Amino acid sequence: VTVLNRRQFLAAVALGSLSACSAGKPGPPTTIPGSTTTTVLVPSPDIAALRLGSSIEHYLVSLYGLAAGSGLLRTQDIIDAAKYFSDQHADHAGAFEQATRDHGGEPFTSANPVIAEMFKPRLDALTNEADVVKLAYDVEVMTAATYDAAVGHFEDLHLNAAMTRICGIEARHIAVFGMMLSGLPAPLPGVAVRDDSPAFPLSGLQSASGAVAPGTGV
Amino acid sequence: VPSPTSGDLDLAAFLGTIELAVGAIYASAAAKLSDRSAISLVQTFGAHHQDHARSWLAVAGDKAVRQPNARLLRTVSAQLTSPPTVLGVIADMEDSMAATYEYAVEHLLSDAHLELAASILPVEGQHATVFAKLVGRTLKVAIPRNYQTTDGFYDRATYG
Repeated sequence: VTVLNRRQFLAAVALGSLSACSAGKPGPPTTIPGSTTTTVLVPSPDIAALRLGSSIEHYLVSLYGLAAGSGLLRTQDIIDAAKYFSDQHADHAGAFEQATRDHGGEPFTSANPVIAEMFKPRLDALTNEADVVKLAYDVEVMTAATYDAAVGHFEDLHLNAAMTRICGIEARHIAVFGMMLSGLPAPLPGVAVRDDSPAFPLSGLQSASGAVAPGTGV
Repeated sequence: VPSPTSGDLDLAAFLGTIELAVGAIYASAAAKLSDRSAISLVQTFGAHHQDHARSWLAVAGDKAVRQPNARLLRTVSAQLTSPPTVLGVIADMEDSMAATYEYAVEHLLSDAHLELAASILPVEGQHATVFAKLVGRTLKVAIPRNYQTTDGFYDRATYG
């Protein structure tokens, strides 16, 4: 999977859309006149972003499901967070799918295969609940960055607010896991305190760095 | 929209004034606390808000108001009555800030203003969540909804 900063994300929008078009099921194409004799069909970037969103949300649901079934989780606060956040991601997936339909596209209704493949080695290597929390934290960070990168670039301006409605919640998930990993308010018994997973960006701004490129896996 | 509209500048100016007020509220809050880790967080988050204020003032054009929003400052400061209540009051204020940014994203048109609001909104929500957890609120109280809403946002009709 390719991760991008905001500038790279924007540059990838057109490319991602074209890739999705050639892959087959991107939703309704927008007809762009090329010349008097050719027409290029480009799917809506909005639909590509919505499909990417639902694919990420489905991946998160599957990740939390695997974590819950792994037998590694022992701390009630972590178990409760994983269940609650999974339910919220399932709801978000449904929202992205409905928005995709509302914009005339075909929803992406399963976990993003490219992202799943990227995180598979870490998933396979989980040995304790601290590993689970750190993996969930990292995937939530990637998710928030991806949604932040999309804001400001929708053709349908209403989708900007739709995206921040969801991004704002993913950021709160980061805060909860970041507190656990940072030992706030006190270290959890099974989670060693580390200094590379803060509950909030030290810059005070959500970053698009690490965003998944449009079209990835969908 | 590549260039800010008059409405964008008005909203940017308002956001600048409330960020200045929140920064001032954090300074007052720090003085009421004794726990060093809480003070450190309050100082860090207060600095975030000062940065946010500078960002909005920089894009508000000639509508920029370089004064804290007096009504917000007065209203929240009055709630900082005792050290045990301080972090809870701030958590609630941050929830309102996140809601205000959701409102902003719904109304801003220029790409630059929209992106700035979208980059601040998640952090205000994280501030709220951190303080909510620190004062012992349950997860479902700290994150009560599946979506960021505009519930409790700072309305320009009241605070403008």
